[in-house]
Amino acid sequence: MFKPQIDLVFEEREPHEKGFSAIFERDIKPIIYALEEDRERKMLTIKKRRPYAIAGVAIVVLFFGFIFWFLENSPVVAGDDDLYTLLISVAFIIIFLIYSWAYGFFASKYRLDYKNKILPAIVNFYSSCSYTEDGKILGPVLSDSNLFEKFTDHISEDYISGWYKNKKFAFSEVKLIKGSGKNRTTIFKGVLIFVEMNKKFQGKTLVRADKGSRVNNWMSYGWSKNERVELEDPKFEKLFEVYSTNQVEARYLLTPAFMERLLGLEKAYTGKKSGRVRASFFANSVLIAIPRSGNLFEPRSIRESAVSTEDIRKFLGEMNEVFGVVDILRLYE
Amino acid sequence: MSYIIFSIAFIFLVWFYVIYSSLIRKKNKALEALSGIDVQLKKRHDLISNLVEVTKGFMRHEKNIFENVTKLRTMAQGDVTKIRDAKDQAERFGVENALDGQVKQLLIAVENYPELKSNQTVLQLQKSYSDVEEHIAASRRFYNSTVNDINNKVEIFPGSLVASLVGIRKKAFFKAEDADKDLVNV
Repeated sequence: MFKPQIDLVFEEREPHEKGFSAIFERDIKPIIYALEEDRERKMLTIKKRRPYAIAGVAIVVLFFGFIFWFLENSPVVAGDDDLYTLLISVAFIIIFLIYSWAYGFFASKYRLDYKNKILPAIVNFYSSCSYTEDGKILGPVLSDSNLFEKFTDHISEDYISGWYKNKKFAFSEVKLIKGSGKNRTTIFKGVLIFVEMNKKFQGKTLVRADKGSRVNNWMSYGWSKNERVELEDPKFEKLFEVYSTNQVEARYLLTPAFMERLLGLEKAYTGKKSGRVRASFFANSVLIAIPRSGNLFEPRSIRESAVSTEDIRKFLGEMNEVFGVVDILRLYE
Repeated sequence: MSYIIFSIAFIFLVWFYVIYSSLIRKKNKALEALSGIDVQLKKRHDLISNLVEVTKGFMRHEKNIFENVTKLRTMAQGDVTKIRDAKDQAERFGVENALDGQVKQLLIAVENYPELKSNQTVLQLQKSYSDVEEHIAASRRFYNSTVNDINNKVEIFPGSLVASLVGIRKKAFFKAEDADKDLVNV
């Protein structure tokens, strides 16, 4: 049984952490101690397997090195690039398997355990939502939104769904890829937030990045069957292009106050290089896409002790950012 | 020589037609936007009727408000799109704004009647009224956007030339403060 050297205490420092210390004492501290016990067991196994792994890699390198030398001196197969590529690939696969056996599997399992045990408690502190590490906002929802061009791969993690301020809510980190093989490109990397709205409407309204000039905008969005909506806020018009199936409905959704809030969200959540916030209003809901390069809700390495409030504090801050989008935009009004 | 004259005349006709059809499209868009406002105003009138029916029995002391609402509702009859004169249109919108003012007073007065305050029908009507108001605001913004488009076309050459030939004139924006100036004294 793991016995902590110091008793872990969570100090509430930020406004969004208010009330969390009780949850921490009751629900999270026992989990952290259990995770630390498991981490120490895994680290012990990793330590035991390390010399075998090093020996294994050395043998693979020597073996394949010898094979290459032999083939280089063989008049039959010398210079056969395909064979060399195959051998290198096999060597890398074996080394990767050794790495996984000695370390990778344990690190990955620890990371998943940490997230699957700690994050649900943090999510519950903020909302009536549930958390799964590998869930996703469904592909048809993304396609129906018309926010993204056609994608072939939809990689998702950290899926949160349920209710927030009495509104249906869903969130996930997402990477959308199009193409295959050497032509694979990432068309979007960031977070998606899907919220049911109080307002009821029939059509679809898209808010996307302004491409800088009429020509560029037409080339990017001109093919759309939707009508372009020109709004009154010059700051908003400079950053965003709006298209809709219904001009009045677009203005019903994008009130002057809402446009201000969207500008505030854009300023708070994106940087110069990350790209523009996008939004699609459809089926009485809104899907918001916020581009970001980093990864949310990632614990520290298995090599570092789990007995710390650092990761918890980081997760709380990130969770506050996620639900903060709904608060900034006041989507529950 | 005649071939050149014919080509110039043809190009001129095509150019004229393109601008003319653009002006007509923008004019019709403005009319469509005005029609959108009219639809929402009619919805509001229906809601007001229901609200008056539900609350009248309880709020016997608010006779003044009900009389004003009824008077203004009667004055605000008719299709807004059929009003051609800009001054008449502004006057009509003034009546609608005055009606809105009276309904808001009625809704404030409802707060003094506990049996009405928690009445599900009244709550639903209040919610619907607020929603219709937002739709009216959105319709007005769209109308102003179409008026902006048509005015730009009518005022800037060569659209101004074609507009003056076919009799298409500038339209007035819907300004809330102008409509308020024409508030009818009830």
